[in-house]
Amino acid sequence: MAKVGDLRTLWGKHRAITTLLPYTVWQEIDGRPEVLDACLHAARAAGTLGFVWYGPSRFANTLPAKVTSRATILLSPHFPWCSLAERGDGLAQHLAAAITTVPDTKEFTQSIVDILSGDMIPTGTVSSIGLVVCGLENNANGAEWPN
Amino acid sequence: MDRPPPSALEDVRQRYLRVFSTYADFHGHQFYHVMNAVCCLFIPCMGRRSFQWNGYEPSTCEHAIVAHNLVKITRFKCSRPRQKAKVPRWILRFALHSLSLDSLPPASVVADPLLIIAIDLGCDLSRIRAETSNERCICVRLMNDALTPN
Repeated sequence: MAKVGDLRTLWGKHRAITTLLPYTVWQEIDGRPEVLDACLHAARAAGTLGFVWYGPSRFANTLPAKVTSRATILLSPHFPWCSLAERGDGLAQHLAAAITTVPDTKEFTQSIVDILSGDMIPTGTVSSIGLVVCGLENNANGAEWPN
Repeated sequence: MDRPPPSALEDVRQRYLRVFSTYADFHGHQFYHVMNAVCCLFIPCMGRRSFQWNGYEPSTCEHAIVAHNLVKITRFKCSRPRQKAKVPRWILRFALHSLSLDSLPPASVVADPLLIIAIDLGCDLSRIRAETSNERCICVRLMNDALTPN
């Protein structure tokens, strides 16, 4: 049985964790966010940011139509951004919109940092998200967005 | 589960090979995915084990039958003595495909892909009978056994 903290075992089970992720999105929509939390907790415990969402890229392509803002932000570090060429821009815009609707918590902030620091994320996506994050920061400080 | 005698399995495999070539190509066939799954069972060393389930959009009835039988196969394969409980990737991909459809199948169908994942995670499912399992029950079990902190 795999336990969080048993990193080698969890690494060996990453495909199963990946397979479960689309189901966690449906559970999130049905008002059961704990399933997504548990799944992401297992992924993070294994120190495997970036690997998780590689399998179900087809599902990632259709995410904007169905997923909540919270799930979008928490799952985005796991997207295979480099292989989402045809929908990458749409996802980035959806993600940027999601960022503006969630509260400023450590969990979401960490997720955004993980997204922006990912190796495979396209420059355009970084720009889209970066603009929103900077805009929020400026608004929070009461500052004007520079021309 | 009751294990069929090896001679019976070999007999079925021989009969399959008498009908289909080892390199039979089912592209374009109405039952492409199911035939590939059958091939994976009887000719396990073939490259078709990497086949994808993309485009497989069965009726609810067919989906339920295929999912239920793949759970049986998974249980059978993972119950072999002296072998690590490892679910074949093509079966795991079936679970992924089932859970990634544009709309989630009925709970009775979803339970089976969840069982496949649970088996791959190494959950103890001895108290869950395949005939009576349901989505919620398996989901809670998955979280308790494999995904939540100690």
